[in-house]
Amino acid sequence: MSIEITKNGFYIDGTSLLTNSGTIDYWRYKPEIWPLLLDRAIELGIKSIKINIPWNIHEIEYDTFDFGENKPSNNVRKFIDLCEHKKLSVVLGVGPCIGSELNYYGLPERIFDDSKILMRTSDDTPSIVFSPPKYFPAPSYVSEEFLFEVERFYKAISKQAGDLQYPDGPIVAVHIDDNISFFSRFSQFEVDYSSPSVSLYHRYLKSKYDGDVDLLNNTYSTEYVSFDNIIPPKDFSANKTIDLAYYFDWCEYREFYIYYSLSKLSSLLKHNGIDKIPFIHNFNLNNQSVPFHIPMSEKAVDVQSVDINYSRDEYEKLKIDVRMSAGSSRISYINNLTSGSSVWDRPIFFNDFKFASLAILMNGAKSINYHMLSDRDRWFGAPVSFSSSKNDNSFNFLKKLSRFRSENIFNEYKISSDILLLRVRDYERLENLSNIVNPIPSFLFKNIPSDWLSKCNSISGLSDDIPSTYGKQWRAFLMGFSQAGFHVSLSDSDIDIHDIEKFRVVIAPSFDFMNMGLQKKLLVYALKGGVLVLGPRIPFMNEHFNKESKFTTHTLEPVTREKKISVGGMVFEHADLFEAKRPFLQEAGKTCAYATPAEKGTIIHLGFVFQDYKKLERSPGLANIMKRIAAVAGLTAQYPVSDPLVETALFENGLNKIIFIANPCPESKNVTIHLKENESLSNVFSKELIAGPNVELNLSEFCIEIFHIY
Amino acid sequence: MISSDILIQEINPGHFNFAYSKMLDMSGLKDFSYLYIIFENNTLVHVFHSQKGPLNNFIFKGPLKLDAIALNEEVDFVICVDKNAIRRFTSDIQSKIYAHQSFSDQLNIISACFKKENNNGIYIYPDPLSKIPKLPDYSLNLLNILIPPSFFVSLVIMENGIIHSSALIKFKDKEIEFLSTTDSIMPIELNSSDDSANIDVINKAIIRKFGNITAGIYLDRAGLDHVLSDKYPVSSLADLVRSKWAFIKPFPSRLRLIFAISEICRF
Repeated sequence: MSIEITKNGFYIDGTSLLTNSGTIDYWRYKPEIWPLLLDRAIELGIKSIKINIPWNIHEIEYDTFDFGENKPSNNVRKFIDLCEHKKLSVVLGVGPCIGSELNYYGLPERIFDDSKILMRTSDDTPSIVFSPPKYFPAPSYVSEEFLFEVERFYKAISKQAGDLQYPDGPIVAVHIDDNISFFSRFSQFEVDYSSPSVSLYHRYLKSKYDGDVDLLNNTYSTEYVSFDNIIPPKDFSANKTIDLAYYFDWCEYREFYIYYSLSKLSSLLKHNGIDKIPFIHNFNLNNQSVPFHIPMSEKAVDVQSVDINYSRDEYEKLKIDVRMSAGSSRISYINNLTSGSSVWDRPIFFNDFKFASLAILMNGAKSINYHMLSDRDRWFGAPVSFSSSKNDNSFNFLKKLSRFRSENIFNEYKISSDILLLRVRDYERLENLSNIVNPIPSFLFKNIPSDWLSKCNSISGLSDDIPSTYGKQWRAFLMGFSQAGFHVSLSDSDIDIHDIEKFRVVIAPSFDFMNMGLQKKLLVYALKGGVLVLGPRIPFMNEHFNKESKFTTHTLEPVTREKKISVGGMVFEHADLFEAKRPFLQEAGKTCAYATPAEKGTIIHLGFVFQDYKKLERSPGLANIMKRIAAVAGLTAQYPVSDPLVETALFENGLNKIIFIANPCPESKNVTIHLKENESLSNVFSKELIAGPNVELNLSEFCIEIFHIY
Repeated sequence: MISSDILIQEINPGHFNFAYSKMLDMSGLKDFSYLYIIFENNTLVHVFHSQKGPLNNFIFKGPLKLDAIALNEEVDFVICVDKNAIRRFTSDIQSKIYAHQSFSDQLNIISACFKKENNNGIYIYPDPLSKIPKLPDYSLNLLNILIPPSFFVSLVIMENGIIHSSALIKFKDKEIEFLSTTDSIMPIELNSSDDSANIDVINKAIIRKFGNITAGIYLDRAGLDHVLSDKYPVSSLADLVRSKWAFIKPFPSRLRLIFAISEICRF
């Protein structure tokens, strides 16, 4: 047996799996209805069923589990057998938390009585999870007592379903927990300050500094006698660069905490015989990059998936999360694409589901799990009703979409993308450290960019207010390239060099410092022939804020800095001016950006801060800058559209081409798309043929159309 | 309040959306804009506008005259918080909430913690507590006596002979333990021209599926808007029933009594 995970999908013995799956909460239905629900799933083109096993439903008293002996609907084995009978594979969600609108996310209430299990806040209180209809204290995933309890549950699951792992049964993957990330407490200084967590923090530092506390003292400029004396930070009060290492280590630790929790849970499963199939975990990114770390998580599990739970007016957020998944993960797996609506959240309706289903494909998703496939307690609007009838709109749409994906073998199409925009972890950590709304979770500030919530004292040694600058610089690139007609891939800056080298242009917003690993990776990329875009500053310090740079020999020192300058009708802030041989942007003799050769490649240094682009607004000047950057790499927009707010994404498989055209705006648009000579479009659903090369389309509000290009 | 074992199923998305939109409309939270001001020791730490972003030239004179700030900055809400008060507030809540408490108790704790900080570290304009409809104590006491702890009520909004929106709600020990919509009684056939017959059909279907209902309230959208916008919603519903703009069937004697009292002392 061979299990292979590629950018295109999961393959077991060469068969593609998990491309199209859906969640059914077996325990919430009478067993008589199970076959009807599964038949509906098959009708929808679903190939795999994800089932979450709820701990607090099966554990009826301490160490006693009901798997159907008392309540027939708890007979998970019977449900899995039924899936196998109907030739559906199964993804086993094993918790310990499964969410699913269950009280306590599926955890048994009794565990909250043990204080050694609970997470602690920086104010030394439990960390309450505000999830109706019962708020509860969050457990600490590094507590040995908690992991001991989890193992008892895992043993019970293994006894029930361990022998049903592929190839002996239909279970092809295991899904661990639900979004391990401090129960969405993203602020750095909220949790986890429990004793086991602090102890793990000390061990982490000890390992990082090779057990040498003097090395840490040199870095922090402190005089600790032992690692155990270090008190974790509870607020951000750095004034100078040397203060930052202490805080950055805490950020790193919190990312490690998630990795450690996942590793522990994976080990427990393997130790109890669930060891033959891939492990999956999900993040609900919500556009945050820290404490999430997809490449690191994929050292603990095989695939780090993401959840998508956005309404259609949140396209920009959806786009960022899906592209981050596509760019940073082994495969872009959307674990929970919300199909239907939770009664506890703002509602997601059919039009939102339809738009999101197409938008995730357009942005690179390959495997999709629809959450939920059928209505149930505390969930409505799924494609299948509680009584197994069809909810016509979403049922028919999903069936049509599944057919399109399957008939065209869409997973084998590759998105045409030559430009990569990195999310630079160094700066995103600093932005997160400076989050001013702590301890209120920043996701409550709906549609507010995270940098708006950041504010810190000026840090001597840094020439920019990075927390409030990085985000707007990053957004400008994303928006500018999009309006210039280019698809921009996104990824974590910690991805492998080989993944970076696939792109012809790589953009890394940069400031006075950058970790040496990334500096080296980026320079090698440029030297090998890539076009590297840096700025507003060229890093001259490493992550320890010592003077060290890979770029200084290839870049220019600024002559002066101006608070504001105007170039080509655009206003740039905090602009460095250069005496450059190859000016890239200049006006009235003032050069604020230049290009410089780096062996086979080029470095473009934009020495200024863009204005803040907050929402969908046309900016021809910005798009023009991005077009010029692309031109340095010999790139032009392949299928330009008359309206820059309309996005396209081209997918290719050999000579076959599919194009997605999206109108993410709340008003309809008449646009012209320019095809190549002799090309025409054919709508993949209606089959309508439209002759090129200049095709006029009427796009209704929040709509995505898909065409074959012939 | 809702029970921690609440069962919520067969919810019609359209009916849910209607209820959700009504709630947003009533609370003023639909597409609202706000200014968020954070201060510490009476000094401004940060301020941002929910649509415009951080404001660089904002002059902070303490958490005063928020109404004028709202007007000046063209926002629906101004949220002005002392950084330490937020921390106190969240810490206070988290040290008092336990898993074994009922949801009502947990919400009461949050409410008490908020009241402690409201206008004493957390300043919001307009005051969110003023949005919560407040019945006079005597009417609350009266309703407490007259409303049984456990009952099953259906609320159906009819529009041109079809069901526009609905809610089927079962209370047990004063907590909602079951919530559904008329999707759970489908299929039924309604006669578009005869409201009375339609009510019978719906009631019969509810009884067949769930057993007896205590009261079935039937009105149209305009009627619902009338009730929700009235300062005295119970009296307003009673008026609608008397004028045959709304129908209640079955119409229990306790509800008749409440309506009779509501004619004298409005609530």
